[in-house]
Amino acid sequence: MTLPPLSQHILRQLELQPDKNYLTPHELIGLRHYVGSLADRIRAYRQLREREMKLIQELVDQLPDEVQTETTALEQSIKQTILILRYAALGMLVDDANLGRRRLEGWLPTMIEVYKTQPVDELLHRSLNQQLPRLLTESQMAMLKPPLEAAQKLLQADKD
Amino acid sequence: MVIVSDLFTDASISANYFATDVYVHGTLELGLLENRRGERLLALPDTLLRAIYTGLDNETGQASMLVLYNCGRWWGKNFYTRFCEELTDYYNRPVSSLALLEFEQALQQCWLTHGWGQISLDADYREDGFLILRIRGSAFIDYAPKLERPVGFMETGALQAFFSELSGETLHCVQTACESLGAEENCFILGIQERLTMAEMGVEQGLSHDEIMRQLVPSSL
Repeated sequence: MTLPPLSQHILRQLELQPDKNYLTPHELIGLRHYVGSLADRIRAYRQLREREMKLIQELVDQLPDEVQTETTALEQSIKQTILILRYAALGMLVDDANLGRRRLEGWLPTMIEVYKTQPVDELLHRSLNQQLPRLLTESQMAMLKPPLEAAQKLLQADKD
Repeated sequence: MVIVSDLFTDASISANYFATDVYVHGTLELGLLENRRGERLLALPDTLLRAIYTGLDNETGQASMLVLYNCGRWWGKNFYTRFCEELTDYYNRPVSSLALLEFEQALQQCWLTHGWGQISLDADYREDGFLILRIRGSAFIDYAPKLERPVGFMETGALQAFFSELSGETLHCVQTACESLGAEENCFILGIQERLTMAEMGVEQGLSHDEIMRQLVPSSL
């Protein structure tokens, strides 16, 4: 396999090797773009941080009764959902779409299997994806989406 | 009704403890590599590993296999203690309360992050009293001198000690397939010593892992 390593956070994406050369114009454009969006990234991150518990509680409250009674699966699924959201938020902050995937891919599929969380995960993430645009602006949502989707993909990996 | 905030005594949620990019740290100015608890890690140069094999072979000849196996047993025993301590501290619950799959996941990730290759557990013969372990990409085997038999002496000892500690029984371990002999992966059978005599004879005769399993568990195929 010669796949390049999954993308890194912003400073890792740059070749920090001044002994070789200056950053390329292309790298500088990327950096300027990132710095320009940084204030917005921080606002979105702060918003997610402050609203996390309330948001997740709302998602849980909306779950149908039969799901609410499966406490072990539900509790594990809640933890997984929060983890995914936190990784997505941090991935957005540091412009690293695969942060969550890298850290969770060797682990999350096992938890889904052990705790049989897949049906709850599906419900929680469907409503999470519906609720997030209400918390964030369109541009913030566009920055959150890649890391969020990359991490959420791990939830489906177990289906086959 | 589940109250989300009650699920967290503090703000942290346990996840993939041995995840590579968070497990290995370094204070490189001081020349230290550390794990996430601040315990020292070492990068072992392959030339040193080769040198250990050669040195042992020169000094002790045949006995080097036994020396390596015994080193492996010490390694496995201490590795088990450390592994459990780390997991217990992190998850805040005893390792015995983890599901087998959770335990396996942690072991796999730990093995991977340390650069020892990919390990997996095969519990298909659990009822018959055997546990199969498979390791792909073993550095210890890659650099071992080639012999006409499996050469994962350190891993054999380490797995034996690790799983003896885990199960509370004195287990024995026999390597039945080896990357050094062209196998796709290294296979190790764990079980009670008397029941593994046949496996050891099978290895001497050059039988394959599957042939040995058929002898150990005739009903399996």
